[in-house]
Amino acid sequence: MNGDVVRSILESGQSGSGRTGLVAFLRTALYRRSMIWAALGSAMLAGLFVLSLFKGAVALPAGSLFNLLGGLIGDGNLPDTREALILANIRLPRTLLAMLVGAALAVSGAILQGLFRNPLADPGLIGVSAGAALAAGITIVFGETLLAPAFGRMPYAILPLGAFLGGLGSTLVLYRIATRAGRTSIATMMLAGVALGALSGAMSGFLAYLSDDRQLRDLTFWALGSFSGASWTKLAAVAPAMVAILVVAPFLARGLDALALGEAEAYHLGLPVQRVKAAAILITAVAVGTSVAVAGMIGFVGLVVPHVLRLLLGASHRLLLPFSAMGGAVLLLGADIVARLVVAPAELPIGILTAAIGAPFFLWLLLRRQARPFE
Amino acid sequence: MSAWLTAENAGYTTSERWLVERADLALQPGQLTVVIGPNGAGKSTLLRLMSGELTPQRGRITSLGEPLAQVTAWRMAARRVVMAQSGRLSFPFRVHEVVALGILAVGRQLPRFERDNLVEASLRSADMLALADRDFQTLSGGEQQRVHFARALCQLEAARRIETRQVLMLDEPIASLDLEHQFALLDAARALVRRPDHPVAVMAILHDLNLAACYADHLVVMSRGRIAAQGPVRDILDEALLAEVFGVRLTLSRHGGLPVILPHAWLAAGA
Repeated sequence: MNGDVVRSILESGQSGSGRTGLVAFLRTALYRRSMIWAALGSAMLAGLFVLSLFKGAVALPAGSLFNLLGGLIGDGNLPDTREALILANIRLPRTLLAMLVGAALAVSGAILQGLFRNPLADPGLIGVSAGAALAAGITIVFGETLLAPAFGRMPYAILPLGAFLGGLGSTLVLYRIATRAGRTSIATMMLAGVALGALSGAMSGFLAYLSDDRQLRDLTFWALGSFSGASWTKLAAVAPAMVAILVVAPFLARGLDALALGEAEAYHLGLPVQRVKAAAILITAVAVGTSVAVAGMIGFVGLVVPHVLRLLLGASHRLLLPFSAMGGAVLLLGADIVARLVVAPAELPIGILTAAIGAPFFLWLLLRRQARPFE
Repeated sequence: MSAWLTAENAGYTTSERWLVERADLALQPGQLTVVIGPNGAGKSTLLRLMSGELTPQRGRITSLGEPLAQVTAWRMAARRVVMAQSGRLSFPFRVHEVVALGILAVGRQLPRFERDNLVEASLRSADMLALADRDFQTLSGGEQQRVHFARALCQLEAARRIETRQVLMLDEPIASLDLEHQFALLDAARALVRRPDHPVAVMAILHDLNLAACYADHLVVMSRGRIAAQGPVRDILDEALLAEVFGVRLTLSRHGGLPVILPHAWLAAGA
């Protein structure tokens, strides 16, 4: 520090010669690295996409895709074969759903971690998913009785809506509990989240006790998570909200970067802090709620993906948010393929698989952090 | 010249006590205001009130004549820059990324090369360019403090294109710095105050009375939530006043025309 700050800064402000400095070099290097990872990620996603279409309880010959495409181009209709039906009505919506849910969960994990300033936050760990699952459970068990007079049978869109409200409700409660005098206590947030999750779990258990056989099967599905019920209807019910979130989320990057310094500092830097927080909470609630609604509780995606990406690309949310979407899609699509194959022709609930990968990862994270314990 | 940031009769209370009971303070351009006082006197609270981070329950704070509640966060960020006491980060940002956070909002319209240049110059000014690519979390406390100073400089300079009447607020900016960098930072603050085009108003909280006496244009002594005295250094440096406020007996001496404060406890410890 030579003290001659004025001259040093003035000179730089006026030089626009295009001479590349160290900072420009570092920024460009990171950008190049991120482009390489983007290419790799896209390739992986494309490979998994194709794999996901052909692998499953019924193995499809590669030719069936060409038959299908040929039929579509030829007369605009699907060929009326069993392969074509499986591809178009089961595998394709399932593949798309797994990618969307993975992206939504990973992005909400990244956002929650930024909001709470803690790399250990995850919608599953802090009880947001459990809240959404509880609301979904209430809708399953009581929805039909309450809504049947009005609609005849329960409209499918009610379920994601209920799960969404459950996710929003638990996020808000959590944030309220953990925030005192404008400061969010991380320890309180983690503990309150565990308690909230346990409470939601208990109430979900009580719902199971109340429910009949068919409802019980549905409830188990929520608790373990699965894409086996994927259909175009489900996809259509949640895709608009999820795509909207994935488009909007990167706009939070600036705000979350600033929040990494703390709320007061983010205000000092000129950010509308309350608006950023409100947007972050809303986006996570929508993403988690709709995910839980169509796929049940799938934990650890939101924890693992952003963490790995921070190791690869650094902490800036400008890269972290879009790459989390891609990473989440890759991880969950891959996990779904494995879930379909390990016990074929039966299926493993995907929630079991992600927990089996995620929980040891989480422990490893905790052990690694012991050198630098969190607040 | 009218002040750029003013506290009038400002007070802030928690449920237990008034952290700042009543404070009148005007930050003037071309003036380095140093606030001293014992722990818990309300120095940081006063700074946080004047920065807009806290809202006073009594009195008012005005920036360029406007009450703070009427100034948006973005416009406020162009008018005043804060280097707070604690500067921990929750994620492994690189040093140059931390500095770039300074211009996240106020530098949004600047072309990319200009933002890069600002970050680089700020890093150089804080003697941190060599560590630009280090993980911030792995730096020492003093190095982190220098990064935050660079971030403040970066915001100040970028915001100059929006607003030229600027205030820089430093809360114990040299607490973790080594001797060389303590002087370098305070020299930099003074250079900003003295700069010929659009001088800045600086408010700094310091604990070292000798440095305070050396660098202050306007010295503020706080005690128990009130401003016990304020004015030019020569009027404020008074053995009786300092002894009462700090609860420490001391002797005021001079060395080559500069005021030197010698606490008796220090003399006794060496004897």
